[in-house]
Amino acid sequence: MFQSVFAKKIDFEPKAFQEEFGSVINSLKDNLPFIAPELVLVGAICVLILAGLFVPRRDQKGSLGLFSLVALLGAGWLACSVGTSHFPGLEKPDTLFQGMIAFDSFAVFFKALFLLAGAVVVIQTYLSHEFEGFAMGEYYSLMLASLLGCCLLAAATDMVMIYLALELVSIPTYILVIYRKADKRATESALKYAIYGSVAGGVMIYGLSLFYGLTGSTALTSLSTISMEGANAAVVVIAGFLVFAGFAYKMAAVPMHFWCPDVYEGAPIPVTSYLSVASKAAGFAAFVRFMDAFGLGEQIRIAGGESISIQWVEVVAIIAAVTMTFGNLSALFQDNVKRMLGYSSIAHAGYLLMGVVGMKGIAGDVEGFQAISFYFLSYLFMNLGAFTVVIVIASRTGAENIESYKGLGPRMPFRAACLAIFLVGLIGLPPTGGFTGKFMLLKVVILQKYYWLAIVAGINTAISVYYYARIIKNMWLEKGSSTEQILASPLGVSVIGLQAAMVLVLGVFFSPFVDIIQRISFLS
Amino acid sequence: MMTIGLTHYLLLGGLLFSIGMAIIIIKRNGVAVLMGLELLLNAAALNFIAFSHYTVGDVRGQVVAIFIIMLAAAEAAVALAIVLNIFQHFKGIEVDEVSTLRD
Repeated sequence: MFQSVFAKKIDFEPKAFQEEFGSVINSLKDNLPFIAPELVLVGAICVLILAGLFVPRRDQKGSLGLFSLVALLGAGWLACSVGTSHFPGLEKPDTLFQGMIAFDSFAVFFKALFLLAGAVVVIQTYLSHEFEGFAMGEYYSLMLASLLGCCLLAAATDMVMIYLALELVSIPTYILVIYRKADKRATESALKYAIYGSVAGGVMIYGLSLFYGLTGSTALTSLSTISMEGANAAVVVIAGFLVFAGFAYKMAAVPMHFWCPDVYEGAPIPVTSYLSVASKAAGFAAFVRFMDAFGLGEQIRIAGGESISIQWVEVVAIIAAVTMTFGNLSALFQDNVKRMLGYSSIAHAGYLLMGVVGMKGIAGDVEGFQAISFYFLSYLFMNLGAFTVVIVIASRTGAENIESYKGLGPRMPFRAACLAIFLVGLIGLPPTGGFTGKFMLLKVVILQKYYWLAIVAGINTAISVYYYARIIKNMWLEKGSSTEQILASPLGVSVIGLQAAMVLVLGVFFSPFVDIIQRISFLS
Repeated sequence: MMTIGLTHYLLLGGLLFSIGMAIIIIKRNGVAVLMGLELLLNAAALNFIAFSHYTVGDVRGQVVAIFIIMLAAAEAAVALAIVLNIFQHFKGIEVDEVSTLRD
């Protein structure tokens, strides 16, 4: 028995090995310029950890925040320029690092989206009063580490890479949720978040291990052919559902949504707003890529001639309908604004899943994943904007309840008006980006002839008017206990104003953005 | 004599996964839940190694197993720190008593 092991070693040829190894190293070296934004993030993480040791604690929120902001915007700019320009002497590759991550416009778009969202969250952290006196070096470095995970997740084309990136997104956020560790609510929500997240990750990797056995490879491209003899449809279905659990957790879709409201309520508000946009978008990007490779109902060939077809599109459609209905109905009865936005985030996961249903659209039109991309662009400004105003209100008045929003309108007219714009966008009414995005999602679903899903989404939109409008009504139509003006900071007002302007631009002058969205494509 | 083959490893993996899931659902102790989680991850790692040896024949599955071990350690470190903080706030680590956040 040992002999055979040694026999293998005798076959080993140093020369051939050296050549192969050398070519691998060279190809990795050539790939480095294309992950420039990720490298900037890694560098910034190291600097932030070290700077956290030397910068005086009371200055950390401002100075380290400014550094993270510059790093994120720089990385975002790099992501766009690397994605659109050519390097002299280097051919633009399709995949990087031996097929581990893709380098396509879909990944570039989402990278830019995450980094922009990260920049807004850093500003929100600065505006928030929750972190006074905390050491912020670790906070910002964990935030950047999680964003690095998002960037890798949106580009991952290998099952192992998807799992690793997913955990790189999740694990730093467990710590961010419990960052104020003297806070009992934050501690509780971090426990729920960490246990749900780890279980979802464990279930997912078990499903991926089955796919590895079935297809004989970890590459997503091999998912459409099953090389294992004697495999049957049941195993594929089970493995598919197990993997779906991991994605559903990141997207906050039913049935892995239980953590969402508790974590949104317990976590510091900037962290909540980070979770609601960046980490959700990363989950969706990876899910779209996975479903594209796996197929929504196409034939899957099994070695031995047989072929099966599983209608995943039906499963996704049902989950989308259940998710949006559950999110909206639960949000009706919430008093805490953060918790309400948590359920609203579940509902939006349902709307966005409609884009997956209509992923393969009619050629030349907006396809499902492009509708998802556009919706996330509007969602970024609407949801982060709403959270920015919620942070300002919580920091100035300590109010987190919808009841305590009474009479806030006249006390902070500009910011309250902007919050009204964000909420109208979240409902999905014109003239906001929320309407344009939802219109596209409904259109792709209708083109797929899923009329019932479009009707469910329409009914849900009507339900959601109630709880979003309740905030607007409390702010403007009800009388509060105080009429004192609420202090405005130039930074807060300008950030909120910019986001409100973007929501309106996406709702009215959307055609340049639609042009960008229509040029997005990914490897398949 | 019976030879041990792929099926046996897959069955063991499935058994580990089921035991882990049962522990996570039934146990109330926070640390025990984390132990169940380790079983889930080990079941996946075992599957990867078994497939890598018996059907696929490359080292990729074994490399993945090492990644899983590493991630399990990272997750356990964070989760145990959270459980420790739970103990300080709630004077216990029974997960179903940690429920102040609800509708």
